[in-house]
Parts: sequence; C-alpha cells; structure tokens
Amino acid sequence: MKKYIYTIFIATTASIFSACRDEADDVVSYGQNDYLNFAAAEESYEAQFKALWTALNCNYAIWDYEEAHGLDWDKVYKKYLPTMRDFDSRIEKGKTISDDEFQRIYDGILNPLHDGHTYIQVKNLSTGSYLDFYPASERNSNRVDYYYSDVPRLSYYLSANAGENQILLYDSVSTGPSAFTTNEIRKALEQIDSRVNELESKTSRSDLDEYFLGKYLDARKELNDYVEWGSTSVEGYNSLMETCEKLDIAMNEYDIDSADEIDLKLAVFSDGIVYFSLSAFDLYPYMTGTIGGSFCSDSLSECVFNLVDNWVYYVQDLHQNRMLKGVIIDVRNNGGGYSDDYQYVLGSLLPAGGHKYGYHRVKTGIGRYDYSPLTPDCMTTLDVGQSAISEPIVVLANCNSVSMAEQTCLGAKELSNARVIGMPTWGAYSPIYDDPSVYSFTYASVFGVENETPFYAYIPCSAYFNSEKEIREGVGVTPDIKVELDEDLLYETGRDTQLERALKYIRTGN
Amino acid sequence: MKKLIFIVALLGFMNSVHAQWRIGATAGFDWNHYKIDNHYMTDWHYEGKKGLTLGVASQYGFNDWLALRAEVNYTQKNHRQFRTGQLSDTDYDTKNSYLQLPIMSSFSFGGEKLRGFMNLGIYGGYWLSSAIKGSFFSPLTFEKTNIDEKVEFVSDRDQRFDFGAVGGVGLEYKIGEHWAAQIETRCYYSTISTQKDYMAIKDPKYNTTIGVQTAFFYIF
Repeated sequence: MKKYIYTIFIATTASIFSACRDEADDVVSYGQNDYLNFAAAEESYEAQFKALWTALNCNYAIWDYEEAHGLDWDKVYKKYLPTMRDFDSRIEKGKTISDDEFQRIYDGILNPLHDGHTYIQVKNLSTGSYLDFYPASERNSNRVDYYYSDVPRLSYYLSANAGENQILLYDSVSTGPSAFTTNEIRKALEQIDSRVNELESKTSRSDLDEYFLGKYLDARKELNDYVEWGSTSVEGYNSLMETCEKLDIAMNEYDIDSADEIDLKLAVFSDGIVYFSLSAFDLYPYMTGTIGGSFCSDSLSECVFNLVDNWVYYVQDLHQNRMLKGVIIDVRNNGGGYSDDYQYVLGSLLPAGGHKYGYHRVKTGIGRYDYSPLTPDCMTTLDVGQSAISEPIVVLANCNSVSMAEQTCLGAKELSNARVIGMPTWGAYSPIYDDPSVYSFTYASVFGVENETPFYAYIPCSAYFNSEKEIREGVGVTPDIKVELDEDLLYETGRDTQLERALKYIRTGN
Repeated sequence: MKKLIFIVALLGFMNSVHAQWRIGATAGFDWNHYKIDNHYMTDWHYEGKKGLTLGVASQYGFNDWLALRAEVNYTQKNHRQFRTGQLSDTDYDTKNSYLQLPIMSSFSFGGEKLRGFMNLGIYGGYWLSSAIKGSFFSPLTFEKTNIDEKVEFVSDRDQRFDFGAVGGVGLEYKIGEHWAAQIETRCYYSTISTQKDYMAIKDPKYNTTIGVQTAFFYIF
C-alpha cells in the first residue's frame, strides 16, 4: 500500500512540476547580416517592426539608461504594433503608406533613443524609400550652434593686424574632396598656364587653337573658383576631374571616401602657444601607412604625417626650451573617428602607457539588461619618449564635436592643467564597431546593410561610462568656460571669439 | 460542525499513532545547474558550480512511516560563465544566496536504527544576494580585469522570489532514544525563472540545485 502511495505521489509531482518551465523564444542574430533573417522583414510592416524592435532590444547597449529616462521599450512594442498591422491591412486594400506618414510613426518610435551615435534607416515597404532617423540630431537641432560654423579659420591671425594673437608658423593639409593639396592644384594650374601661354604666343591661331584656348581658360577659372570657395562636394571634385581629364591635364585621381577626409591645421602663435586642429579623428591610416587602396597620393599622406609629426615636435621642443606658453587642441566641428587617434592628439601631451579614465561594459545576453561588469577604459598615448606637458592645455569644442572629439574633452577634464572651452558637445561617447566580422566580440553594434536590408542601425558596441561611472549619452561635455562663437564677427573680420578666449585663458589663467 | 468533526478526527489520527516531534540542523554542499538559452551567443557558456547549504529543520511524525518536515535554510545557487575563443579570459563565477523554506512529506522505511527515507514537497525561496568573482577580458581594450564585486539587482529584470519542487532520498541512523543523524541527497527544481518576463521576448533562466547534506535531530 505504501509503495503505491509513494509511486503515485512521485509520478504526479514530477509530471506537474516538469510542465512548469517555459522555453525561451527563438531569437535570431541580425548582427552578422544574415540576409535570411532580414528576408521576413520585407514581407510586411508588422514583420519589419517586430524584427527591428527585436534587433534593437537585443543589441542596443544602454537600455537601463533609457529606462531611467522614461523609455519603456516593451510599451513601444505594444503601442506601435497595431499601427503596423493597420499599415498592412491598408496595403492589402491597395493603398499606399506615404513616406511622410511612415517617417512620422518611426520618429515616435526611435527619437526617444538617447545614444548620440545612433542612426537608423528603415525602408518604407510601400514606396521602396529608405528613410533616415538620427535621434541625436533631432534632439540637438534646437541648440544655438547646431548648424556648422566656419571654424576653424585662421587667416585673420596670419596677419600683423592680429597683434599678440598673430601666428608665426602655420601649416595645413586637406585631403578628400574638400580640397586638393596646394601642390596638386598648383601642378594643374601650371600645366594650364603653360598651354595657355603657348597658344597665346602664336602669332596666328586657328579655329581649333581658339577652341582649346577657351577650354583651358574655362578650366583655369574652374580651378581658381574651387580654391577660392573651398568646395566640399564630391560633385565639384568629379566635375574638376572630368574637366582635367578631357584636357589631358595630369591630376591624381582619388577614390574618395568622405569618412577619411581630413583637414589639419598647425599654428604657433607669437608667444609660444601651439595650436592644432583636426576635422576628424582619421589620422591613424595615414600615420601607420595602412590606407587601404591608397586612395590618395603618397605625397598627400606624407603631408599628413609630417604635419602631425611637426605638431608633436613643436610642442615638445618648445616645452624642453621652456618657451611653450600653452597648447590648444581644436576639435570643433569634428565628427570623431578612430580611437587610436587619441595618441596623436591629447595623448601626445601625456606620458607613454595609456591614459586611463572612464569605463565600459558590453552585452552578455540578449536581454535588455544583460551587461558585463564595468571594466576600466584606457586611451592610447604616444610612446616616443615624449614629456608630459605641464603647461595649460585647452580643448576647443562645440555642438558638432562628436565621439572621439568628446573623448578628447573628457580626457582633458581628467587633467589638472587642461580646460574645455566653447560650447557643450554633441553627446556621443560609446564606441562603435562597423564590421560584422567582429560583431560577436560585443554582441551589439551595427546591424543591417544601408540601402539594402529593410532596416539598418548604426549603434554602439558597448556603453561608455565616465570617471564617475555615469552614462552621459545625449548630454554632451559641459565646457569649463562656456563661450559662444560670434559668427557675425567671424564673417566680418575673421576673428574667432572662442579661439581668442582660449588664448586669453592660457595667458592669464582665467 | 463539519470543521469540528474534521479536526477531532485529525487529532484522533495523530494520537492513535506514534506521533513525534523532532528539531535539528542541516549542513551540506550543493551543485547548481543554471538552465539558460544563450541563443546565438555561442561562445558564451554556463556551467554549474558548488555551493553551501545550512539550515534548521523541524519534523512532525504522524506515524512510523509518514512525517511532515519544514526547514529554513540558506542555500547557494552558483554558476560559472565563460567565453571561448579569442575572449576566453572572460571567466567568472556568480554566487547567488537564497533563503529557502521547503515543506515536504517524509516517507521512511526500514529498521529501528537504520532507516531509509524519501522527502517530497515544495519550497519557497528568496534571492538574498548575488556576487561575481573572476576575470573579464574586454573586447574593446583587449585587457583582462579581475572582478570581485556584488551585483546590484535590477528590479525590472530580477525575480527575487523562488518556488518549485523539492525532493530527496537518504538514510537515517538513530542514536539512542532522542538523537538521529541523516545523510540526504536532495534536489531543488525551481519553476520560477530567475528573470522576470519583462520583455516581449521570452528568455527564462532556471536553477536546479542538487545537494548532499547531513542533518542532526533531537527527537522529543
């Protein structure tokens, strides 16, 4: 009797409790750009929304920060799923979902995201248009310096009118469609001038001579206009290349990747303040000679290397000779780039061994709150025997100082002899891996292919924490000295109020 | 009236047999299996880890083969998580401490001095604390950091309450009239995920804890 009681009791208990555990949902990875996983998202708005929602749910690195700012991602799912189903039923009835309506709905879904890098593209299945969503841009658009100003511009300071702010030594390098180097333009103009002189020196010119003379004069004007107006468009560059090619004027052809375009300026002011500006943190390929496919001439990459080398040299040499008054690093309108560039900029003013500050964490699971422990961050510093600079350091920044530009500001904030001057920065600190082959390092970051998959997201691979262990995405670095740029003064006279404030701080300590 | 009849019958049943109270202490080791789906994160792995269990127990014997046992114990439900491949220096243990209240029926059989027993029942528990210890290899800086820290609970995510089935088999040796020593292999099968259902995606995680424990009882 007892045995039967035992057996029945055990069997009943086991069968009841074994049925009490749920199984996990099947979740696919969007990070390795498996096209099969995206295929379902092409079928319907509902499927597309579910896939994008899931991909962000699993890959976005700061959901706890978003939750603290009032964003409940599950509520977003429940709120917008009926809208997507409504879209699908309208399509079945032969109607179209306009791009405007689609943009409006997805603005509501995506604009609350705080990460400063996040860019998402979603395809309107009805029209085939790919629509862009950049939450940080929407959030920052009401900032007074949101629109790009024309800084840095140093021409005023090259003249004696600048007084104590006069620059004694100046060098600059530009790559990409924003400018050919001075050498390339000069070479092209020399060729044109030679041909124009040859034709004009003829005592009698044929109709064909007149025809080509006109072409050469037009080309010379086009080149001079390009130099004077500083065109930054790929179309302008392509037009010039086409003109030169038709006239057999030798020019180096660049396979332009605008992400690798960089403008550098180096200046030494009359009282020993060294100034360095860079438009992007894209130095690493030039400095290490790893430019893929060598999209620019060897002479151009050498120019970049030499300018950076000179920047380090003048700072160190003036410091050694006790003639260095201070250093200004200008990262205004700098959209960021390689983290390894830190060593060439602020890291060149610090001892070897890395600049340790801040923390990061990565995803450890698909859950919104599955994170690793915080681990210390470390930015690279140069290792060329440089001395640590004890003179005042200023980092100039503005609303369009993004990502690595902001890391430079954060690094400066860690130094007792450094200050950030200008306007609050963009608010994008967390790093990004834009390479599906390393997706599995962090199980976060970019997914999809732009203009190909039904959605694409450019999101960070980890969450960055400052030295106080806080996430500050979407907030930006607050400058130690806030100075607005007087744009009227800049355009009328060329004077830069933010730069002059930095010079004043270095000279007076205030 | 019906209630009164039931109570009288129950008391009669209890008095008609060799009813006995006993209280005691338990101590032992356990090994926890953490059931988790790592989905596409195929280089992340989870393994069971050892832990401790300590508690106090009371038992009321209705007769010589059936008793009701209740305990309060501290039980660790630990696991190890690590990565393989290039990031294999990520390897740390998670130590989870629970306070548990198992209530079981206890069936016993055998002789006067040496008896076998089987416990079967349910338990409730509360997740007291969590801590991690080991190393983490950053895929960003490619540096290893030693970690030894408490893990803060996330109220949206972490299910602090536990519940499930508990069962065990063991041997008891009676020492004199008033003392008994037991050794038992026991299993706690949790039916509540350690993670709340906080996402539209189901991603439950469960503990199954097997222990070997000893107990010493004073029999009244």
